[in-house]
Amino acid sequence: MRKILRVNMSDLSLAWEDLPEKYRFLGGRALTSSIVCDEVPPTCHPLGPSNKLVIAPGILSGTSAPSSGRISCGGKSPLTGTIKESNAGGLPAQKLGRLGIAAIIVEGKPKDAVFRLLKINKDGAELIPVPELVGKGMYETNRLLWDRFGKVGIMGIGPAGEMLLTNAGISCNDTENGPGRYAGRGGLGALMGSKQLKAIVVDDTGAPGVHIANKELFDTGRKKMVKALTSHAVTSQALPTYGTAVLINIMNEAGGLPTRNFSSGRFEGAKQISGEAIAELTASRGGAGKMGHPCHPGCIIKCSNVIPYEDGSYHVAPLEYESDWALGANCGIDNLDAIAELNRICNDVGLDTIEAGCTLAVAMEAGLAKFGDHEAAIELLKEVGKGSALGRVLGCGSASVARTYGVTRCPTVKGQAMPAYEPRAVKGIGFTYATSTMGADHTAGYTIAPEILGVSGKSDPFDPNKAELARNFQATTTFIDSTGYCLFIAFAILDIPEGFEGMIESVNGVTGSDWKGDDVLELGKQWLKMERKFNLAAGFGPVHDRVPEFMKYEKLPPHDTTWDVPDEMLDAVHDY
Amino acid sequence: MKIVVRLYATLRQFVPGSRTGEPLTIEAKDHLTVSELLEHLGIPADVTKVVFVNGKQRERDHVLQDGDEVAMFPPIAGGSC
Repeated sequence: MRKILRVNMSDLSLAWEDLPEKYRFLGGRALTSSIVCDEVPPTCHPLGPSNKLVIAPGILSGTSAPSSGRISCGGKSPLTGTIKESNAGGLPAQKLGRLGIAAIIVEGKPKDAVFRLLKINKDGAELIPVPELVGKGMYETNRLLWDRFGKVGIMGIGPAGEMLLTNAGISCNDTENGPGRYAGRGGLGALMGSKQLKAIVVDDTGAPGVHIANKELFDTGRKKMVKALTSHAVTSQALPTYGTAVLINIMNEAGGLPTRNFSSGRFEGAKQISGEAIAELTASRGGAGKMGHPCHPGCIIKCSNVIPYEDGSYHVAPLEYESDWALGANCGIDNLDAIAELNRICNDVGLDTIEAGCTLAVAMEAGLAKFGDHEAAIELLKEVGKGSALGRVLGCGSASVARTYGVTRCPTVKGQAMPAYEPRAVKGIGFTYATSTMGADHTAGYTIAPEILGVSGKSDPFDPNKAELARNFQATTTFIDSTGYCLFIAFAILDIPEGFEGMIESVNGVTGSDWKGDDVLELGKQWLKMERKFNLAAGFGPVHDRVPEFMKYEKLPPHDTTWDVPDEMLDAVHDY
Repeated sequence: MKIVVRLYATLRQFVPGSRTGEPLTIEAKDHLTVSELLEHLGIPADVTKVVFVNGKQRERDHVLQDGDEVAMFPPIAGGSC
């Protein structure tokens, strides 16, 4: 039976609990959100003793199912005040899965000022004081932890999390021990910091492996998934060749690439920062540079990359579309080396790159630097790690800077910055940003697939009737986020029915559940309802399911469109 | 009439010497459709997924006008997880 590891930071006790029957079929997001809803008072202070950090590998994490090494981190978000699930790749999920751990619950608050490390292996767990790691960036932290513990999975926080800044993320290490696989969104690094937990190290040496209830069914499903991922053009060709930043040019051509703090949908420097340009740069510089890099062992999509310095040595991994856009186009920056450096600083200090890029853009709007001035952007971002007063304002995200400097063009929903798609040019994604349980989040319901990419159906981006589309994407996503599969399987399985079957069969094979195709939407809706109930009790109602006002009166070039969607249409998304 | 074409990702391999997103100016007959433009450029129909004309997605039977800007993409997707 899978276990829950309960870590009480108030009395520093550790307890192993059998996974309760009601959670038997759950993993990933469904499990983190269920535990948060059952155990966290919705009105608690996110950084106080009543909030809990819940970490859960997906149902399939640690098995041989392809691209299934994803982990969910949950809690009440210090950034948004809503429930939060932030999802990451890297090494920790599979190692936790193989140790038979369904979830880690970190609760309470230490009575002393000591930062600790949680070490987990097949023999148990222990809390170890780590004063020597306090203040250290994630690159050095990861290096020191591998020197001490071997090639363990690491989840950790940088100085931003230690300082309880609301844009702090939780780092997961990748196959080379880089810290770049972040559960970045929603400030969960600050929640981990409030528990004075610097890192979790997971050693799966001698672990029993994931218990599989029906091996034959699991294997049937796994094979169907492999076939779908290796035959779909997106997951087998485009993503490994150009990485996720292949989207820069298409969003720019669609007039939906937010530029200079959401003041335009086109960026004249798009080509220079595109996936095609990144692929050319890694090929021409060679050395450590690489496309087709897996974020965890067993990923067959391999959308990640390693960006080299000019001399070929390792600079940063990965440089993803959202980071490339946030720290690039949205700040008016067209220099890939500068964007890579900004990304590296985020990884080291422990910040979400989307929020950090939007924060810098709002700061530029406020006059703290000129749009396009990458040197000034780097200096501003460095302030966060220094803990200066300005650095703390920046480290608390876009809304923090907008409030401090009186900027009305603040592209946030529920205090969380929008990702790399303009709602005025792509209406469906605006529905997702507005009505997601997490604040503005593209992964919550990626309607970009049918609206722009012609994948998983086709839908006119300017058509405002998107409630059903947004609902179905949000529900399906909630299910996928619970399986441990990477969300990118959606590109293949929503086009290839056998792949969709494979997802369900592999999940049923592991836990013994008997879910059918139709259950995916129903379960997703059920879990969304549960998350929305938490948010309602935390003080969030329909009036918070809105895009920022400036989008209603500022026309976005080049299409000169505004956000013209009636509020009732937004309210219809979760009317089920 | 003149059409400006921009090719992305793998599509530029079909037009020797072209670079990602660099505008190519094409002299074409009037009332050319998107399909005919693909044929004119020697790009196989099945490798092109999304076609924008002046920033809006258009189908293969869309009739082009003088001065139109056309951008073409193979199947791609991304975002970040």
